[in-house]
Amino acid sequence: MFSMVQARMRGLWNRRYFFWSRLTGPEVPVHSLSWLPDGFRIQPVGRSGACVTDSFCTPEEAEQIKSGLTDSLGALVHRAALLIGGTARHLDEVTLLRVRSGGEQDTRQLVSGSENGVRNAGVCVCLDGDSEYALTLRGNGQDIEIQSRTGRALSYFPGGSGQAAPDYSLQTSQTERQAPQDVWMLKFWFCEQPVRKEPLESGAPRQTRTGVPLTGSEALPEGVWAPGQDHLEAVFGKPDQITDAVRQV
Amino acid sequence: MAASRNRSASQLHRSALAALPAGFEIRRAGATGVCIVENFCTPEEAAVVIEKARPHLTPSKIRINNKTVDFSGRVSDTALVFGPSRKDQSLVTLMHRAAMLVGLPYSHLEAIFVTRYGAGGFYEQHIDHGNDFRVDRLYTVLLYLNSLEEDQGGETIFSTLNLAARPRVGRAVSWVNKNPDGSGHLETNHAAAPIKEGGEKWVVQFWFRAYRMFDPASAQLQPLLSQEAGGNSQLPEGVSVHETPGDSD
Repeated sequence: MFSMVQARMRGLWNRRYFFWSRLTGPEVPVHSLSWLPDGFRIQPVGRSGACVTDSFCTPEEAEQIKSGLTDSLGALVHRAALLIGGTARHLDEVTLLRVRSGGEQDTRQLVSGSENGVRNAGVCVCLDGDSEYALTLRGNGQDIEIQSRTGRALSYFPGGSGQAAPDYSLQTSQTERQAPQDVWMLKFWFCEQPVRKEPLESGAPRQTRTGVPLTGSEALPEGVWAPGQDHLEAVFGKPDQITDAVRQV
Repeated sequence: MAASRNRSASQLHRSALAALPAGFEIRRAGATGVCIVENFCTPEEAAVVIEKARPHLTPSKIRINNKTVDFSGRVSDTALVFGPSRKDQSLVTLMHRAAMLVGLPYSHLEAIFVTRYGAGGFYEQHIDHGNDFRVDRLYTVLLYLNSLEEDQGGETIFSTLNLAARPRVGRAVSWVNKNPDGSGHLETNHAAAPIKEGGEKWVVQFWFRAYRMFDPASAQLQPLLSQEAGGNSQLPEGVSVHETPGDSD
């Protein structure tokens, strides 16, 4: 009898967060994967703690930002937060940077920074691709050069707060090479702890949208395909039906 | 205390990002809402998980009407690899990667199970979520631990979304089960096609909740080792490493 009561109490204790969320409502950030363009590819730069991400944004989104439209900025903030392991509430500042031919730089602040946050993560997004221009990440006695490509992002951690990985600083100026054209970049700064009560407005979260069936014309990875509506019946030998069975292991 | 906990969480996500396998890439399956992640884990990591799970396999069950029952529509074996009674550290890195993907703390994960489908094994069409506490799931990340060829069956079929994915070692498939407000995505109903003679399929299921499920301290990653970029580490295309030029006198 006592062991049953004990097990019951342990079960209730294990569900304390579930009951609490029912009282207060869940605090769930937008599903990160909902915000990603196709081909979003993260590649770590050795063991530096920095990562290069290709297809961070689409060329259309890059052109929008360059032309002053910020409709897609909220989605880019969510993606950048994904790269540094935080949430959009950790965002401190967003700056649009234009490196002119000759090395002169113009900056425009798109999102103002907080006064209290301690920055510990940065994401720099190339809005142009230029084979003559490279970002340089400097630290630990090394320069890591990252060739600019449209939609390529560099995420890095300037260090501090007792982090184990080496500190890096980002160099965006060019002193040795002259870019034949202007190069645009978007820079995100994130803090170690949330500094915003609400993330940037970004439209309805895509995770709430009902999924749309494949038509068969989409580009898909190898081994992923649109099987046709009869495939399930062909495999299981009976009509398609959704049961009330839910999974429990 | 709170500050150190937050710093710990920031450091852990950073470690997860920098420890990604080469070729980690996220692809969207059209407008279905399902994402395919290639190279979520290495074949070596997958093999370790399989060997950890193998001795603990038991016949799989399901949850219907708040009860755990055997079900003829599911033929497979399941092993608990991370939960209250067992915390295998070989899963910790994968847990952190899955958490990074969906934007939630890793402590929001349910107990983690590995499932093996032998020859003839399958799982009929089902959804991963419900209103019962035991299946109150926001997101699913399904990771394949081995590969199957076209003639071996075993594909994961989303019939409503007209999507099928063949098992590839290191491939993960992720989707949204429920929104934070509790509304469900019934279109994510899916099935595991039968395995043909001579084949077997191993998968790991990561299910995320809207609230904490376990103490984060029980699944901490080792801090990121401070190592130089370059050397034997594979660098992304368009990235090179040089020594920092010395200061001129």
